[in-house]
Amino acid sequence: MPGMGLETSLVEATYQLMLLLIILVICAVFAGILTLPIFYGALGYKVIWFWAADSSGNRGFSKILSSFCRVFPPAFSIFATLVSLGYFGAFDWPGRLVGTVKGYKPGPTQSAVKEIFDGFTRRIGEKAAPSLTQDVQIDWARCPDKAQELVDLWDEEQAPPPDPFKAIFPAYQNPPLEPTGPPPVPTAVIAKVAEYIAAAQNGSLYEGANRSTVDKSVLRAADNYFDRAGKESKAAKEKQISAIRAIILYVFLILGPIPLMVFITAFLLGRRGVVLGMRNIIRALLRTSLTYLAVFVLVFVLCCIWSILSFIGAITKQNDSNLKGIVTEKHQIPSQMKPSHLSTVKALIAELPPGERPENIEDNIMTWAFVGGSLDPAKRTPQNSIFFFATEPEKLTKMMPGLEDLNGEERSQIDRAVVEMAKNKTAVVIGAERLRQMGKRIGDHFKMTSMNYKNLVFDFVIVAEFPLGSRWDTSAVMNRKYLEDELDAYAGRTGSPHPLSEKCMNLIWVRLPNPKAFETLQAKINDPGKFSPAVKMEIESSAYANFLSPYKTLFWFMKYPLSIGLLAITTLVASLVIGIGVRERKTEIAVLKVLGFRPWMVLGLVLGEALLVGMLSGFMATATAYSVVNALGGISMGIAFFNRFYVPDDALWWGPVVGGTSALIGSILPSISAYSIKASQVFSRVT
Amino acid sequence: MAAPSSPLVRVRELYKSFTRGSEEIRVLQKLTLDVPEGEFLALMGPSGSGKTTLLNLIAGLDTPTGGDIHVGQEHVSAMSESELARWRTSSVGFIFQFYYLLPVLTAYENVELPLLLLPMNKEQRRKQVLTALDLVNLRDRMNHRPSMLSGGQQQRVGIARAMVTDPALIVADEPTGDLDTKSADEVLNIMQILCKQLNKTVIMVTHDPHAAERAGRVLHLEKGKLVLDDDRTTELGKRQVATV
Repeated sequence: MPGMGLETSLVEATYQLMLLLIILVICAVFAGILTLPIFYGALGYKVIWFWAADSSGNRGFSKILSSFCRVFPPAFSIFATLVSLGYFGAFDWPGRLVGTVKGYKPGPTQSAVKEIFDGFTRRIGEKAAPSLTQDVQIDWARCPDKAQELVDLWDEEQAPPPDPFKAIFPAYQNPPLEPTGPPPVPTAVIAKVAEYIAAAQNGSLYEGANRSTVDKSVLRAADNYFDRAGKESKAAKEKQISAIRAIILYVFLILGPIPLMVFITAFLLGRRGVVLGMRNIIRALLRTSLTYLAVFVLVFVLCCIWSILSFIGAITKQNDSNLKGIVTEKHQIPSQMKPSHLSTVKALIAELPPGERPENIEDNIMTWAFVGGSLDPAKRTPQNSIFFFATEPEKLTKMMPGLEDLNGEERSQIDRAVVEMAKNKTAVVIGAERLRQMGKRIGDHFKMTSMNYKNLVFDFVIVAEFPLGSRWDTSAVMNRKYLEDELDAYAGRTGSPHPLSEKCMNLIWVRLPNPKAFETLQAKINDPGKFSPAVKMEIESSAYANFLSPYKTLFWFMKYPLSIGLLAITTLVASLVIGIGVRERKTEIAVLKVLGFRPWMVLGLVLGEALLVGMLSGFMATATAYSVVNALGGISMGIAFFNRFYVPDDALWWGPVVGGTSALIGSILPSISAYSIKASQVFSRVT
Repeated sequence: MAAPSSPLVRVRELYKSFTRGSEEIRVLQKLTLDVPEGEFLALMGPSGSGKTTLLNLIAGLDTPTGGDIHVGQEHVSAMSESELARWRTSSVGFIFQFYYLLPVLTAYENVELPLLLLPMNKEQRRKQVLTALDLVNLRDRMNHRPSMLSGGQQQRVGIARAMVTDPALIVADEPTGDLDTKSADEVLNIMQILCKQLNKTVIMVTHDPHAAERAGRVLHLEKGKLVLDDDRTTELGKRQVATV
């Protein structure tokens, strides 16, 4: 929040944008080259069907193969289209348009498809990378020799490899690298733990155990390594499952919607014309590859830019059906309200007339306190610093923006975390990306010395993570009760209250049923006599918009000059390349006209070829951006408090629309040129 | 199809000119000509005499500046571009000097191309394509692309493509111009078969006197005018038409 030194200034943000553009272009070029075989593979997939459809009179294996190829591609494309589009909510859009599916919540079709698909991929992942069972506990005191064995194995595996240059360079010239987090669990240790679990399950673990005395620290270490091995194998399994999901979805997206469109076009307009177009695309390899690369790079960059704008747009957009107000101090930034303000706000809400008053006030109100700190106060780094929102755990899935819309496994994890946080006030939830930066994982304990709540040290245990790609994946949430108890303990220790004990309410969130309710409550809250110090209430989207207003020029630049410029370049490049192609094929086009092809058919052929290459290139650009950029932790760019932006699901339709439209517009002049070719002029030899 | 006694192609006072800058170039000048059905007609003349232009006008690839062209019952010179395209599909077959097969299609697919514009199902098309390929003795090469065929074979595919829609009129622009003697003979043999056995009317532009010898009638053009009409089917066939 402003004043805490964690936000990015406009100048820094602009510089980062310039740097981002350069990096994106470079990455896009490499990604385009690497995905070129996939592009031609996708074209080849369609050509196989055309070959099979035309094959006749084949015998034996050829006949079987052609029969298979005649049926499989369209059937698979239908299936892949249904699954991939269903997974990303395309079939719920009619419901969104008429209002039966609200906002950005997953619709019924998307939820159903996701559940089936996620369950299926989980079963595959569990078979491919089974994790260690978490249910078996080992009493190390009964098998201390096994404990010692495990600790010895750990030490052996963790020992650094021998330095081959030790004899040449003295030790002090090769200082050890600073650890960036707990070391990964070695594979040998995981295998040993799996052995112990199997032995424990079949009852042989404690048989013949050497009960000689072993130091308690060894038993504790063994328990720690056992626990970490279990968590690491579970994390590896989750990673494997995520990778399987991503690969299957990528394949479905590439072989689904666009090939299906080609098959349908061939069915409706005739196969031969489509075959002619596709073969023309494939035969001019250099020209097609250049068109693909140009569209890919530009759409990739545009997708990343729009991802940032999309996120900013979403948070500054007013949502009348899920109206949230933010109550903050009126005249001070950062806002630091008294805890007692909460009860006053609740009382004011209770005074609202029916129809404006939320049904259950407790379910529609949430407080935030900002608690920042470091794991190593003597040597603060971005990796060991963390910023918490201290709030009521039960409000996470009811009020937290973005978390209310989770479903499936992600929602279940947060639900379990809420229960855990209610039972254990030291339990925290941290974003997946933040955990990666800190080198921590679920189950880890850590101490944090607060920077703003001086002299308070918190001892946390990580019980869950916010999903990667969500708005909170670089954030952290703690139990407000822990903060309050620590403030009380401070007062008990020192005999006087903590300086921030009467300023520990930074924000109050209130959800209201409609804009009228908001207006009524806002008028009450903004009344100067009600609160001291005075507070104000704004709609969530307005609060963000006000906060982001210094970046308006930057957003304008990204939205208009930059985006339009990129679109114009894409269109121009497409136009040049397609124009060259038409000029090269002037005689062929004239021959088609001689044979009786109408000018509009020739126009359709050129437009169709451009559309196919444009849509497929654009789609691959955004599919690659969606999977790779999100897997790598999103687009790193600091704007105010937001440091990372992820490519949204909507990007999957941006690609084909932008790529296809650019190619289509770019092909207008060349296709008019093709339309206008006169066979007599091409074949005449008038001197 | 014209009645047996009336010519298939009737050209009256045909006039064609092009404008180049401010200059008007007269390519054909008041040309009148009849071509009976089933005739093998060769058009000869020096470069720039207008023979290719005449061919293009008769085939409906271009429109005259003046005069009339009738092919069968159709008033070709009065048709719009899309009407001409539709008419050409089923009524005219065109054979090019450089074959102009589509390189991305096989021989079968190249021959099949014109049939895609007609209301036929796959089996009907296949039957006609195979008939056409049999006529030119290239059924065994039907799955080959043009790059895998010799010049003569490509031209034979071109002939098959020209006659696959069973047109009454076949026009050929220097069909043997790019071929060796043997291939040229094969192509000319096929064209004679088209005329004599299938009663097609063939109009061929050529510089090659050997090719012209195969024709039943040779017309000589000079500066856009018909100067000699050498009809070898009649005893008194040869006549001076005009002095240029």
